[in-house]
Amino acid sequence: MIKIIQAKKILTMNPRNPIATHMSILNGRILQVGSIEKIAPVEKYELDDSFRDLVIMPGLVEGHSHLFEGTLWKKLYCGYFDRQKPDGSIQKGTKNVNELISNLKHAVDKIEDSKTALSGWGLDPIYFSDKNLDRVILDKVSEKRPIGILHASGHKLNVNSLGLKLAGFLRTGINHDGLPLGKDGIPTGEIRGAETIALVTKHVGLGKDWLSGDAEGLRNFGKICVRAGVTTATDLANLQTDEAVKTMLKVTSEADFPARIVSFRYMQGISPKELIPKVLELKKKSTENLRLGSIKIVADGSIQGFTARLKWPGYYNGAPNGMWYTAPEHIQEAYELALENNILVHTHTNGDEATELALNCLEVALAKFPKNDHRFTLQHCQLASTAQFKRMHKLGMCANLFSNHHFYWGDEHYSLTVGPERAHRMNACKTALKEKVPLAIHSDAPVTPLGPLFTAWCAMNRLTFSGRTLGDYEKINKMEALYAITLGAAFTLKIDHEVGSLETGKKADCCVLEEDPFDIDEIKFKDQKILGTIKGGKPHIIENSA
Amino acid sequence: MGIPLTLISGYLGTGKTTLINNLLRTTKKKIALLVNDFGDINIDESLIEARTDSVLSIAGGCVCCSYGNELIETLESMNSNEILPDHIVLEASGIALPSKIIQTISLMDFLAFHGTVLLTDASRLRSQLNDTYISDIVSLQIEQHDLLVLNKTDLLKEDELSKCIDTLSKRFEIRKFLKTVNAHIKEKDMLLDFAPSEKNKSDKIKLEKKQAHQFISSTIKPTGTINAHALCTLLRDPIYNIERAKGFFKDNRGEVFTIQYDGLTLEIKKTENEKDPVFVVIGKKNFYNEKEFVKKLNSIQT
Repeated sequence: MIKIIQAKKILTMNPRNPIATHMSILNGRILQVGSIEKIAPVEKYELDDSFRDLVIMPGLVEGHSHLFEGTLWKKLYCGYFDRQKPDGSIQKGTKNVNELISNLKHAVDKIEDSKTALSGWGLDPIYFSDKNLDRVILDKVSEKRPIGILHASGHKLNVNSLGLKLAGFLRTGINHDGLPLGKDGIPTGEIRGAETIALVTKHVGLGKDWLSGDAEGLRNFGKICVRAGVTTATDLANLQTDEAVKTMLKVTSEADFPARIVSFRYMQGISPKELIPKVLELKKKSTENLRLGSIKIVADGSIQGFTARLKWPGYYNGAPNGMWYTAPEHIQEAYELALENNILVHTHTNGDEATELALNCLEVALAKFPKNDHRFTLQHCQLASTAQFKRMHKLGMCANLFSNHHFYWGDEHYSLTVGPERAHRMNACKTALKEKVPLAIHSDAPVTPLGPLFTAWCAMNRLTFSGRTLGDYEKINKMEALYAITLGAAFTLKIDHEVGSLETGKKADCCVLEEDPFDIDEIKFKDQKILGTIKGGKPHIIENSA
Repeated sequence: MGIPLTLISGYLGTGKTTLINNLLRTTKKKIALLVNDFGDINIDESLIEARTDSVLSIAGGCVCCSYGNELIETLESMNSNEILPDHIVLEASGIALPSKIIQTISLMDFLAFHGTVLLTDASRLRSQLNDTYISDIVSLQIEQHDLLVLNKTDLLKEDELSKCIDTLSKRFEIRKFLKTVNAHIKEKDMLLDFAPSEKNKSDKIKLEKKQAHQFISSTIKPTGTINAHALCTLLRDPIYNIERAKGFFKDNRGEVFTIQYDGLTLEIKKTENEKDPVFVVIGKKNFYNEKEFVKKLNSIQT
């Protein structure tokens, strides 16, 4: 039967029919949007007026996140900022070492047996001013069970003495960049770099399996999506083992799973030639709720980790240039094979040299395999210059910029990584739009929390944590920001014909808000209340909204 | 002593696969070969006796494992194998730095590092050393060799080849050098027990051996206000090699703080004393980068 949803206001993001009060739905798709007089069908219909006092807009599209945001919550959150758990309760932020210790002690008391490791995530001691965290401090929590806490960046891990001992590193005679030594010549318990961390994680309850997309973590991710108003989220770097794909197919097809997932196959540990047939096979497994068959390439590292590839003059503090995470030749080969086989590629480029390399590779690849609508997208693309955005436009590329970065690391970028001028230019949304580059903006959850409305706030205000405005010129307006988190992101995923606006033929995927976002001041945009989502006509309402 | 391990490194296309195939064809040793992925390596099919997803059994008792994302686990599995190999040959990915891999190997006490064989492609070396995107990586790789192999010399004319060797000897400190065609190196040249090059140890340790621990200190009087977070980051930044720091500063709100850093612990406390901002910063001679630190400290003042 046809269902009609009534709302105080429906913001469609369709300029031909921008505002309405009713939307008719059949089989999860939109029949019509308008007033009840205009769209009421002749036959019998069901009217759902539970949204009559609320505002409905298209379901938000997160163009760069990772499913393990849902899985992380199995471990203790130790980040600086308050963060909402999948069940809606707020996990308070950890503001200093003393709070960290007391939170950890509290968590230890809850573990029944005496040997299980205590593990945490999200630590960001950049914001701590009191003490440098080391193993001795963590020993105060427990000397009898191993403790390991991953930093927010994922590139550092802090362990206690027992954790270090189990890994075989509680000793002198170690000479390793990833294991800084204390005065006693023994590692301090801070572990740096993915390679070194991998030697320790399994001893502190963070072995490689804990993040592999388990069904429960995936369901948690769905809950987080509802709270963020998101109905389509990308899973931007997944090795897509048979097991992981099976789990994703199963959970996303459950009747009450509230989001559509677009999962990209990560090109790692496999040559482009071997990857293409695998991805073509995966593409065939796509469903309404899980889209497969695209590739993610990581070109360089991160700016705050000094591993991104920067053009001259490089890092502001004089750190040497970063590393290639994928060989330039492999990027070239992958681009050519992907164009030939009509596969979408999103490439992580943080530094402007990485962006330049990606542009050069695509230019060469397109000359061999011309394609009009490839929608290759640069992800993060944080330092792109105006000239690079112009080239992106000419080559038909899209940009998904990391707007949240300004808030969380903008002060670091200003004073340490790239200096004032480039900190103002980072994530240049306005320039992207001016140069006609299709634009999306993202959270990279769990690096920063999933929340496109917060991301939009970041892109509109460009404020750092300390309150500094970085790059007034690059601010975008409310309409541009809302477009970037709906149709803009959908375009980069090649699904803008299905989601991103509310109009005839599209999926009935919506975000439910208390107020009209156009009535909310830009500076308060992040505080607006989300009441839930509608996916394929089925409402998912937050029960205990904070 | 541990299982001997030889690292085969070199940028993409320098002949690592060919070198490894040559070795497998001729060796009498039981070798465990670890490659980044089979797609890159193309082991000679005639040598393969059996295969599973990630392991190939090779004629003569050798095995070839693809480590993909799991280098460390694959290395650790070498130790738990019932039949230990005589020698492990590890093929680095084309963009990896040998020094990073060697550091990791050094943490595994069941392995004995036997040196890095670094391959270069004579026909592309000079253009790679001038390439915007890879010249720094290629240079660092070459710096970190124990045996430097100039491969594919047949692709160059004699005068070009001597220019190429000239470039290498001018730019790099060469430890042991071989010219080859088709990556043909004798096993005894390749699997020798090289003492790891000093270059491959961290610079810090190397310098410490030479220098007595003399300290230098600088007194800095900041004129502006300083963001506490930025100051912490700066003091802890390893590039300046600061051992100790002490002093007072005003933050952006004009409040006065004391700061104390002993190389490990950093304490910042608010103080009611109206002191003029001043820092004393101490570092080891030849390590502490005073000029850059002062410059940077000035730049974070507002």
